[in-house]
Amino acid sequence: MRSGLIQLALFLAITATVPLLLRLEGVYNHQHKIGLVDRLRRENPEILLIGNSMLYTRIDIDELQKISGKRISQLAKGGGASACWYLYLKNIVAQSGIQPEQVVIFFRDTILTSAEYRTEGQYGDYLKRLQEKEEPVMNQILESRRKSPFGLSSVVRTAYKIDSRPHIIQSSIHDLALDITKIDLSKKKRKEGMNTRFSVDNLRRDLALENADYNTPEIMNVEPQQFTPAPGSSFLPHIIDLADKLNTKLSFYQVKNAFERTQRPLQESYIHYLRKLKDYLKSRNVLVLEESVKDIPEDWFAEGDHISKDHRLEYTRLFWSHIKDSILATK
Amino acid sequence: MIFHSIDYLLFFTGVICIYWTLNLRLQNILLLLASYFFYGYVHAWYCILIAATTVVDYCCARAITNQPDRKRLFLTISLATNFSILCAFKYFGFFVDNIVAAMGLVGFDMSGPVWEILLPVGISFYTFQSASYVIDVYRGKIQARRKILHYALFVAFFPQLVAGPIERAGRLLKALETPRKFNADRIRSGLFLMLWGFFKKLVIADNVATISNKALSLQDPSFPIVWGGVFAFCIQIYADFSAYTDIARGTARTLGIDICRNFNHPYIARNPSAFWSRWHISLSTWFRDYVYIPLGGNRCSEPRIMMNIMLTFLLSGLWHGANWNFIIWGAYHGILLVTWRLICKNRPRIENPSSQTVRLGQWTIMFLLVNIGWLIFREQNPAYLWQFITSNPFGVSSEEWQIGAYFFVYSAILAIPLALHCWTDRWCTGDEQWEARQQKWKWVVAQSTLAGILLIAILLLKSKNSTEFIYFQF
Repeated sequence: MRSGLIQLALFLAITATVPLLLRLEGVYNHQHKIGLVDRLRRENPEILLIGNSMLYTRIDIDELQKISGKRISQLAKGGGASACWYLYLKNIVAQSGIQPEQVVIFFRDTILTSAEYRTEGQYGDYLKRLQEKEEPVMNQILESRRKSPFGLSSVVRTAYKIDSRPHIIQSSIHDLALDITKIDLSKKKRKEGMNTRFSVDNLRRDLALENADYNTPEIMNVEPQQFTPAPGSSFLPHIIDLADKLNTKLSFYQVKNAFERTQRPLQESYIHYLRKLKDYLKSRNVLVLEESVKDIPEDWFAEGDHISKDHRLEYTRLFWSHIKDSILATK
Repeated sequence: MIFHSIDYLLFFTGVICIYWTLNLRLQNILLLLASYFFYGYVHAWYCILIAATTVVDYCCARAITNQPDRKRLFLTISLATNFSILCAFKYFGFFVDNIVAAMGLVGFDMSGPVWEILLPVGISFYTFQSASYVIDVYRGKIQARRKILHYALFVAFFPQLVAGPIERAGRLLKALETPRKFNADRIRSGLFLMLWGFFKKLVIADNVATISNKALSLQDPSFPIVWGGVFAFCIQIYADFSAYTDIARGTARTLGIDICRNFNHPYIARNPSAFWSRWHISLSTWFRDYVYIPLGGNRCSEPRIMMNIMLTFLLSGLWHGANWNFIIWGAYHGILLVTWRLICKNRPRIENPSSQTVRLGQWTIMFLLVNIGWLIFREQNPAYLWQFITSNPFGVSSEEWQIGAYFFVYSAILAIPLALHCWTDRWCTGDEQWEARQQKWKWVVAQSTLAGILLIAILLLKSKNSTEFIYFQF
């Protein structure tokens, strides 16, 4: 009996200890961050655009500079969300010492207040490259959103130092499978080919939302989002505070979903959410501009809500004509 | 409550810590309360259904014992109640849709309001488990129990409540009535089994699920993409369902209760008969004992035997879900079994060939046939099912072949632990001293290190897109 108990204790102890012997924590180089800071210093923009693929597939920066007569830069990462934009302002813009007259953040759906959205896996990996050694605000916000009982998730993360390392190892298994099955095309080309093959336009319309349906805003498929601008659980107030500190006028540009062209009614909860978001931003003296989706012909859209490369210049002109009065008026 | 959640780990830890300080009666009361809490965690009204099934079957079984001359009536009441509840929740919408569609074909428009009925998880499992008890009492195989506590716990026992294995009263009920002794070795072995189950679910099943979901969500997938996706689903469904069983068996073992094995490496089967003696064993044996044998089993004419097999498998398909693809899947496996039976009758030596090449050939054919079955099982849209089955392997571009091959190889890499387990399991079960060996210190250290490695693998390779267990929907 006693030896059985000792063996059980030993089993539990070894099981819990073995993972500690391995260094699960990733090592990140900050060259990317330094490169972005240097670029902003060089470009010294009067208007800075921040966002994700909704920004860089819409706006042609050269064209926008030409028609506006302003120095314009962009900071955008595909799949980036509010955590990424917070780090851009805090660790790139603030550290570069530039003082743009305007910062415009492109957002879609409920991304602005879904703090935990796209902060893990490959996205977490990118965030690590933007972070300082300590990011207490960010850690506190993300932990508050994880909803783990008794903070267990935090305990496990701290004990085993799990961050975005899993993503790197998972990617290496995918890469191994790609290497084994290589016939003629390079790995990069095949990854690009697969992205195109499995783009939203090629997916079935009859399936549930978890697989394919671009008729509903992406984040709202996960759970109906509550409007949460509290500093402890959202990056939004911190983004606004950072812009204030930089003495920069901040605006948000709401990108619409392609399906809104068809005038399909929006979900009640989403309408309510948007109303509360706009009220909040107004109360913080922040401008919100909306994309006018009805002005965008259907064939401009590609891969869901992106704008195709062929129509990027036209979109850029449309964008400037739409926002210039508001932007210039708030100078 | 789902097994692969922190909520479950806290719940399990709490239950097990209290459980081993109590006597048998209090242990069973605790388990019953815990089981209802577990089942009603998301939707409390689920508990009303399971309680209704329990009360009706308890009373009917008692009545069968007390009034043997009217036992048929009470059996009928029990079965009618159980299967009415099951049909109402699981098949009502399916039958209404089909009647409306059939009437539409002959010109009657019967379309009306659409009823969305939420299917309580595990209803098919506990209904079958409870029904088997009443039938066994009716057959005189077991005595009807006086204590409703034991019977209620038998129906609702949380480790296997939601997705089986479907236990029999002669085994589980007996175990629940017998005093359990604290055994640290069994707790250790149960925890290890749970960890192995979590690994299979979170690392293997959830990761290959992204491949099968991706491949089969294309509008026009080519031949290699379809079958790469089907292979991924083949790995997914085994890893997913057997993971649930392992966590269930591991949990029960830590509570001092053994529940039956549901899988025995089904993908090494070389023929349909062997496959069904290895896949979802508790359901196969349920249908054998309560459907196939009462229909006459093997003790009748050859055409009748074949009809019995087909009927049993059609019902087994329907058990899985209210959709035509499940019925077709059942029929498909029925046809495989009937065909195999005919082949064996004409060439008896084919069942156990001495040539390794023939055995390998049989295994390959069976594995391909099982995969075709999984495509039918997975695809609920008949138009897409037809499109996938008839996809043409010729004239496909090299890019498409490379995508299909990548899906296949990625899934195969993740399936390596399953293959290793198959090999080690056969090696372990062949060792008569295995139980005694497990208590040796050397083994404890090796087992613990392996458990640590599984934990590392879960931490590093756990899919970000964890899904519910597939069999929850049944």
